[in-house]
Amino acid sequence: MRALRRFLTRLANFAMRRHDDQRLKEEIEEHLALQTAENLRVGLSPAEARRQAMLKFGTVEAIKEDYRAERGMLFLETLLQDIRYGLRMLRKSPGFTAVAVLTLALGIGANTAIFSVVDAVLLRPLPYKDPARLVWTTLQDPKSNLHRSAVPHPTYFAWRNQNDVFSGIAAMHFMGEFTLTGAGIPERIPGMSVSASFFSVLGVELARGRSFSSEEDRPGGPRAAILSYGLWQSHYAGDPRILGRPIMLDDKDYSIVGVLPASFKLPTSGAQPQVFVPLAAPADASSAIWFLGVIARLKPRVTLAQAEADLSLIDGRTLPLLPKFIGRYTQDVHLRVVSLHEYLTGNVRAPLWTLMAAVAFILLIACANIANLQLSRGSVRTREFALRSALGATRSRLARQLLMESMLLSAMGGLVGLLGGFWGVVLLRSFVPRGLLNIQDVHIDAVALAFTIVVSALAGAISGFAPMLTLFSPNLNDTIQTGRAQVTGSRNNAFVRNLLAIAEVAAAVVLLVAAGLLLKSFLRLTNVGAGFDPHNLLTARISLPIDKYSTEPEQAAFSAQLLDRIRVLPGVRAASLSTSLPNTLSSETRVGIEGRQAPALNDPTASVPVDSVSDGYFRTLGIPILSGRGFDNRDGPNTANVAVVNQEFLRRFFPHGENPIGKRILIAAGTPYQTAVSIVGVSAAIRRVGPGDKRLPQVFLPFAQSPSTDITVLLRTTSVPGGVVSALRSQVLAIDKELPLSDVATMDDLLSGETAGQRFEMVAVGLFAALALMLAAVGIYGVISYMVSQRTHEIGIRMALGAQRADVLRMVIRDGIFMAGTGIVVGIGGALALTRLLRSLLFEIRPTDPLTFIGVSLLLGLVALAACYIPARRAMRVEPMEALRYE
Amino acid sequence: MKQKLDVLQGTLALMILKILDVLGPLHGYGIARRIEQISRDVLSVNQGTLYPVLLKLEQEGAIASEWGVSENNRRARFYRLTRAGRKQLQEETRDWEQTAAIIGRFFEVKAEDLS
Repeated sequence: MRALRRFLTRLANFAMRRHDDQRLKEEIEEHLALQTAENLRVGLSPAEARRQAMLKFGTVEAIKEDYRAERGMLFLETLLQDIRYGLRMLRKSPGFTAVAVLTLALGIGANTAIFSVVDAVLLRPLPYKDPARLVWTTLQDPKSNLHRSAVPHPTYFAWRNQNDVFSGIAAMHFMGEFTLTGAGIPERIPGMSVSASFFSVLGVELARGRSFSSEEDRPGGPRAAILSYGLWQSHYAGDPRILGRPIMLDDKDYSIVGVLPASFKLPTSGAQPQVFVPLAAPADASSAIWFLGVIARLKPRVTLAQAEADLSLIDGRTLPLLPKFIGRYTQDVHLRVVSLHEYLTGNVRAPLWTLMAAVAFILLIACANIANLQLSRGSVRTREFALRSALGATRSRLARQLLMESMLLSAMGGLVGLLGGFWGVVLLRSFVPRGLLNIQDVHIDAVALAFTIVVSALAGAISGFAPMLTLFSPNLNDTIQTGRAQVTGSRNNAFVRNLLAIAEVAAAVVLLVAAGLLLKSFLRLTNVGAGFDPHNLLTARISLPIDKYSTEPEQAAFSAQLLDRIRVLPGVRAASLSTSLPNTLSSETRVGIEGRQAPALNDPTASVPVDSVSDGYFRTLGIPILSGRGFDNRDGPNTANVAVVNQEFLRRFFPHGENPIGKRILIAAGTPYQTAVSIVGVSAAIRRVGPGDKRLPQVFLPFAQSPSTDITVLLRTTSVPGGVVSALRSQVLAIDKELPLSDVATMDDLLSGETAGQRFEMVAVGLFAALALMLAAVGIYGVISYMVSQRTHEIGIRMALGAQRADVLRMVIRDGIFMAGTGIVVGIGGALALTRLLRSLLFEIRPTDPLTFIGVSLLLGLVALAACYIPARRAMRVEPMEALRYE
Repeated sequence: MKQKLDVLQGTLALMILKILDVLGPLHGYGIARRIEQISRDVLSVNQGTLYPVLLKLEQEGAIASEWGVSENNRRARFYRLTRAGRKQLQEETRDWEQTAAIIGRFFEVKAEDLS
């Protein structure tokens, strides 16, 4: 109680900065006056009386010190002092501070970003009840080591009915998209069929209604549907009386029985289903085999191995009763029961941990660099420390001071790094290829924040440790006398230091080469150009139901009507239809030229993409017609069959420059469906998607003569295409009110999505390369400037003996160049070995591209020179007399 | 070395409390003089060490202080015992007497007492 009161008073004094020295001073004055008066009374001379009084009182300064210590929080006060002093020191050398903070920030930021991914993807438990007991069954092919998650439905039924190891087992069957009608505009929505037990096995409580009954989960049972929370909100406005209402999916009537909670997420990496329907698998295998994903919950105290053994036992009993081909399918593979979490994260676990280890290693190197830098500043600082210790600072106080400076650096680095981490996470989220579980949930949360703080503190401690040790060297006294640090100058340490710098240079070379190659490849990829104008181009897909539009005239009539309507929409400059997007791969058909020998059946060059396009297609896309004409409204079902081919087609089929106009192409050559079309025009070729892509030969047919149920709408708009989407949609509905419009996107977005993968690789490798370059530069700088500070004396002697400043410069630079050169040679060797792995990612560039290698070597050489130049200039400026006077 | 100082500080605090209890409010010099008188100048403590102890007692709430006028008509800080301080003094006196009694008994022990 008393101690607490004393503590609180001290804390208050500290917090309110109460420095009541005046009171003590007055008290001491009065004390001495009274004692002097007393002494005078016993007969001492005035001077002696005063002297005796002071002697009796004791050392005033020591008393004051004790008094202050008693009054406030001495520890906190000195801590604040250290911080203020540290900040002042860091401000005094802004170059050093900036380099150190930046290095640490890069290291810490990379760690924060990668950790937040690791945390979200690997460490966070799945969002279900007791997720550790959820398992997934998979079939492992021992030859290819591939996992397949497809269990034939009779096997699933056998497991469900006979197992002793699961408290629940459920199956799911991905069905793709449903066409939703009757709730606003028709739409394609992702859906899935699941067994009745599905939600109870996951431990999910429905927000409304109930899960499927076993009656519904039977072939021919009542059709029931469960909505996602999102669909309930967006299409039914969260209607509280939703249960029992009908929903039309693919023209069938389902009754809504439940709504999932907003937090529900399916453990898949693909699109989240918006609607669930009962699995209703057939009871036997006589009509069809369904392949299911099977999820189960282990009973308490049952291990994965026990579950595996039990299921294998059941398989042994039931497989002979199944159709032969299922037996073949399941006998060659091993049944494996794995935890659901492991199944979902299995393929990213190793790469993610590797990445984590890599960034941790980078941070360690950054710390070593900063320790080096601080050591190299030793020559400047030892004098300061000598002075401070002469003035009475203890070693531990000085050590604390140094540690505090490192901590300040790493705290600033951590702060900047955290900002970098935020940015890095956004980058990761937008660039990481889809399919990584939880990647959209990645963000910097409290856990990642705590991680950053711990990592920053560790980085501070590690990088502050080496400079701190120099204080405890046995010859601090020498240091004080000569003002020169003699510590850690041993040959061994110098070797380690040099090796570190060389390794940093080598790593930088490898990463820079990789980044350079990816950058060049990316530039080629984007510079090639699409071959058409992708700006202000809106695309959408319409899938005509084959029941309703079964004949070609019906399909042609729909597309003609659609074109008429959308061409006159405000903001639309041109419109046209096609069977596929202009730059994606469409299906190929064998073609031949009339009057020539029919192509051999196995001749791959005879297969070319054939697309139907409406009139105005080339004008809409901005693809030039090189000769002849494009399609127009004269090309109808009753006129002669015509075709437009592209330039690549000419190059392959008319290599000798014959005039193709009027020549006839046989589509589906050599089959009963063969038709002949006359070439009326030649268009420029456009680029197809994918790295290493080429311009392919292509044949275009008029939509009116060769209609299809797959329709891609292409709208050239006067401004940003987003504005015409609703107008387009209402025109489609005006023709057929049950027809959904899907995959609405602008061509710009589609194209940038195409190169997103490459861009991610390039940015990621580029960042690592920048980090490595920075580390290498700091590393060389640290080593060289430490060396210069160690050799100041030697340099002084050399200059006294007549060495010129240029000689000194050469001497220092030579050391740096040797280090950089060794690193570059090692790095090029490593790059030659490693960039081969990049081959599949590169477009029109070889992994040994000499220009990249030379460029990177030059860049590193220059950086190394710059890093040496600063300490070299310092060495040049050594005054011989000054240097010698140190002894 | 440090240990000894702590013991000294502890006893010094007790002495201060007792003196203030018996004599009422006093300034620092007065307390120092009384300690000298009572210990008959055997305790040679630097008088200055009194002040940090006074501050400690004050921050613990055992004593309070205010400005007053000294014998030679100048401003001086006067310390007085608080109620909490009086309680503390009683407790510590009891503790001290107990300890002293026990130690005393040990010094009086003769060989035949333990046979």
